[in-house]
Amino acid sequence: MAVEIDTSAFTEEAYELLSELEDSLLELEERPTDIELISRVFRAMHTIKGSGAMFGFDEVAKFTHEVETVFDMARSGTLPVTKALIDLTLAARDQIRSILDASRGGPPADQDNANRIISGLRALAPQKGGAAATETKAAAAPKADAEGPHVYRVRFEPKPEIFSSGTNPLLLLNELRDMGQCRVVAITNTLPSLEELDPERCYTHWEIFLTTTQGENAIRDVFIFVEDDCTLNVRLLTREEEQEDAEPKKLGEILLERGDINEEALGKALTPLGDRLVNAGVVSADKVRAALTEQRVVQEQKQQQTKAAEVDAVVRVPSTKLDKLVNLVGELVTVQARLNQISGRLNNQHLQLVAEEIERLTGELRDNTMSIRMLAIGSTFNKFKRLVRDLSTELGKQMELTTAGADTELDKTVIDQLNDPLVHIIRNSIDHGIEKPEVRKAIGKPLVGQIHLSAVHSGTSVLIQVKDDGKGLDAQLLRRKAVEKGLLSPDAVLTDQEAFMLIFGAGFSTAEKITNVSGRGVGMDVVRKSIESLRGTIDVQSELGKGTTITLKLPLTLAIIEGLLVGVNHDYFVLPLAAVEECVELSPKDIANSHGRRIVNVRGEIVPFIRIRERFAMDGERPIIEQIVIANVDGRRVGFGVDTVVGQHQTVIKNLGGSFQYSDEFSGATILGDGTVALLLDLARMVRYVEMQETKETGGA
Amino acid sequence: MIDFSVDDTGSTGTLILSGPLTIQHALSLKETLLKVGGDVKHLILNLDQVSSLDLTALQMLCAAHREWVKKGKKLTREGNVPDIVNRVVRESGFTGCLENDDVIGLWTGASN
Repeated sequence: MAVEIDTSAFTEEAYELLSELEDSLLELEERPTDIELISRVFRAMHTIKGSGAMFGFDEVAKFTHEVETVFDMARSGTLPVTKALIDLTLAARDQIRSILDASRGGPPADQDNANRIISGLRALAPQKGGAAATETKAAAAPKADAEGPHVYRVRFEPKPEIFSSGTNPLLLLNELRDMGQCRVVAITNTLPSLEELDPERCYTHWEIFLTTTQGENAIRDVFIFVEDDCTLNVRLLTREEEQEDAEPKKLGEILLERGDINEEALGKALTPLGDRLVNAGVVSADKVRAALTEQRVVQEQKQQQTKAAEVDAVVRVPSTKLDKLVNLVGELVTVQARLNQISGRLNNQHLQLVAEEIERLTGELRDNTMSIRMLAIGSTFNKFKRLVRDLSTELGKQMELTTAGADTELDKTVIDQLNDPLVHIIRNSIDHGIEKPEVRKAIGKPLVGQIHLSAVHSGTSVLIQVKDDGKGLDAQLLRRKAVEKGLLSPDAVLTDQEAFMLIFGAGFSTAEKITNVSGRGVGMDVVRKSIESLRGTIDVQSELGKGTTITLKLPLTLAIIEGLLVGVNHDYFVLPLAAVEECVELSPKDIANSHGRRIVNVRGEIVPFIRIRERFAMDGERPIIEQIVIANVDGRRVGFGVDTVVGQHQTVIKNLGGSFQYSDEFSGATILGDGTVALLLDLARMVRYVEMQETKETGGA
Repeated sequence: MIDFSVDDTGSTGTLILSGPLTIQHALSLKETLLKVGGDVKHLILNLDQVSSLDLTALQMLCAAHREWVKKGKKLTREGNVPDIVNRVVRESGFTGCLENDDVIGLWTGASN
């Protein structure tokens, strides 16, 4: 059958399965006798193989088949799970990924590597019959979990839209045929008239009577890839018949059990028989009634289970559709703000009621939509287990990665962009932080270094921490290196905290030699930029000899934030509300007292401020009383001088166009209720640029 | 390729299906089958040159077949049913899906 196949459905699923496979293998390394884990690994590979074959990824299917064959021996207990097996299976997992990447335009997969992996795996397998035996076993379907041949009734009802995912149900039927003697009956009673028929929907379902020595699990495995797209019922028919007291089923029982007639119809048909039996004194009327009730209860229970399964079903939606939904909700929030403004101005009670109701609904819709985009960070954490494992081997260090808060949810966009910075930080911790085992032993530390990765919600932010028990950062050394590299003037005074932040400077590295892992001084700079582009901040705590903790503070979402709307002249700006601490007034007297410096005295504390009007060379006269919004920027209090503080504003963030690519003091824009555009300020960048400018001016003076 | 021609009397039509009968061609197959259903009293079906067939085509042929039978149209087949068609019909369990006499021998795979 030549159905147009959407291979992206397979590749996306396969990438997920490979990720699961990796997690399971790493867990299996810790618990090599865990049968459930071995089965999980096997099932992941079996699904990749089956779906690969179904979608025409023959190379994936063929290669995975070889790996699966060896792993099947582990499943059956004939091959122990060893580090060598895990290493090779992890390498196989990477090879499958390479093949998939190649199919998406990546570099071609290394066939020699594939051969090496297969040879390695075969060498591990017990040599009974050698490769030929492996081949024979591989050709067979998964191991039987039932004794003797049994007849199963498999009811397979694909969802009507199954074709759109590229699935060809006939290939699944053929896979069942490989398991034994198979009779397939197509049920077409829901087939509409030709006029009403949508050619791209599946109206057919099947009843398959399969005589096989394999068990129910093996049958279900065939449908793993489509389990969300079908209703599947597998019933062992012969075992029931084998029961000593079981009599062959009556036609009525079979029809009822199969759902071909309902109990009401059967009841009507049986009543005369029941009556006759009752009249003949063979059975009591109660017993007939009880038998019918038993049938009904069992059937209702079945229906409820099916319904529950349907309710729990997960719908997979392309993220682009979700992005579009978020954009539309963003537009709605803007329009709703406009409606509020208009209703307030018109002072019409009826209109205000409607506006309030729409405000409530919009709020709920916004929260719901944002919650759909939230993903647990656990999947990102799991990737690092492999990273730590591989780097341990590469660097000859012993390490253990522990995680906490894997179920902490973050916006999908944030999670997507968080992977690379975290990789850099963890690599850095392993390379620079954790000492070699002999060093750790000499200083009385446990041989195995610890890296703890955690995530926790903190208000509207998420704190992600990477904590190691390595040698810690040496503030003096960092200062010296910075001066040597000309990144810091020799007479600069830095606190330890500020010195720690030097590691995020461009071109800064204290590594004595450059390794594959780190030392080029680009990684941590990239980390800082990436985190800032996510409107996040970085904090470093370190104690020499004890370890380092790097904390990333990230916003929960990038699409809508709470902002503080401020006005300068006739323009508006938004400051992220999470950073704002307070607002104070700046009177002419305060200005006079500061003797030309841009500082404000807040209850005895001197706080520097940046006047937005001056920063952006805006026209217009300053008001007599200015407003200073004090925000926490990288751990310091900095003020921002504005004309007016309008108030809290639900900010739907829009990206700025290409013409703003060099204006990175703005991290986006938003549209106000009346259509005016307000720019969202990137406070950290703004402060940094002002400081750089002042340093330059001072130096030049 | 789908070709439908009607003879001079207007009562007998020949539907020649060839090449792949797959989801890519599903819409045009449906349009033709609908047209066929309305036009003639006697329909001759030719599947000789069908190179592949999928479930979408099977479902449509099945639905069309039911309607033709219901409307009392005379159905005959010319040429052979290619192995590929027989195989897909058999593998998909469509064999004998209609209890009425299968006059075109499509579902039973029998020759006319």
